[in-house]
Amino acid sequence: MLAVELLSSDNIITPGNAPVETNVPPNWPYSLCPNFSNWLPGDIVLFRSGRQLKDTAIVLAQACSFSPVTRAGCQFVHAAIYVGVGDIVDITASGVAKRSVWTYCEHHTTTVRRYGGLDALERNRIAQFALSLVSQGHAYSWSQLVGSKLIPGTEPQTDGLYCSTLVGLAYQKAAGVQLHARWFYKPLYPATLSEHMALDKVLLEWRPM
Amino acid sequence: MQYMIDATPASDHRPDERAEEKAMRKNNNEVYTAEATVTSIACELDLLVAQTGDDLEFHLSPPLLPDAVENFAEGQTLVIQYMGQLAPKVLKVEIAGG
Repeated sequence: MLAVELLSSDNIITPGNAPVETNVPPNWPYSLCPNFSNWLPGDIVLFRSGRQLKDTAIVLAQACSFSPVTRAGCQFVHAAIYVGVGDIVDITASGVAKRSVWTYCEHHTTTVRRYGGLDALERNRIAQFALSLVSQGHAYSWSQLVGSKLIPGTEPQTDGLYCSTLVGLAYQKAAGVQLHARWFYKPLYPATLSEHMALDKVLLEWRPM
Repeated sequence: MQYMIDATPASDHRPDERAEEKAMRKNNNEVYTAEATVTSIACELDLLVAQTGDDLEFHLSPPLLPDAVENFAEGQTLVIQYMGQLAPKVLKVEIAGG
């Protein structure tokens, strides 16, 4: 059944009467597949908190934010850009990388947000920009992440990337979209993106292949 | 004796923290033009930050800018045409009076 959140594969029992998914990535490792035929390059993919201590720390930090938007979405702990064929680009402590959505949706509830005012060319530019960061080998910026949370008014810099600033940077550089422009969307965190009112919710479901 | 019971949930008495956002969402597809002042320039990042009078902050890079980042100065005024209020999409940037 279509919903705004895709439960992790270890939490679902049966996909119900969902149609067969036609856009299955090669080597998809599971018998069910998200409805990738409804996902578009440039979509923002967000993951809910799992069972890790690190996730709990991010939830708590976001819950203490000055922004009511970030507080409202504090259960989302990671953000990535969908680049097509079941893949995302994200940044973790090991750097920027292209990974399968499966890396996260196996154990994390997933949700997808879409900026409505983009054409296909702009969407592809965002995806290509994200992929270009993979080849440039950007490193994760713990100092930006911690500093922007501890010091009110401090903003993450575009060269000090963590997951949500990578999304913000790709939208800004590739399509001119300023996701961070309002005070209540600064700094950008996964929680901020999940509750961002300029982003639409994409309906998701597990489908048989 | 009859008592009046307030049926409104307690949460509805609180000010809506997100009212500003909700009001702006209605104008999300409209095109606006605003003057913005350059507040910082980072040549090494090819990035210029400009702020409008109502605290809307734009991060601008080529090819959206009419000139290279190093040719702008802090305090300079830009005219920015953009779509939407919540996550404005920059359509055009000009130098004021240029």
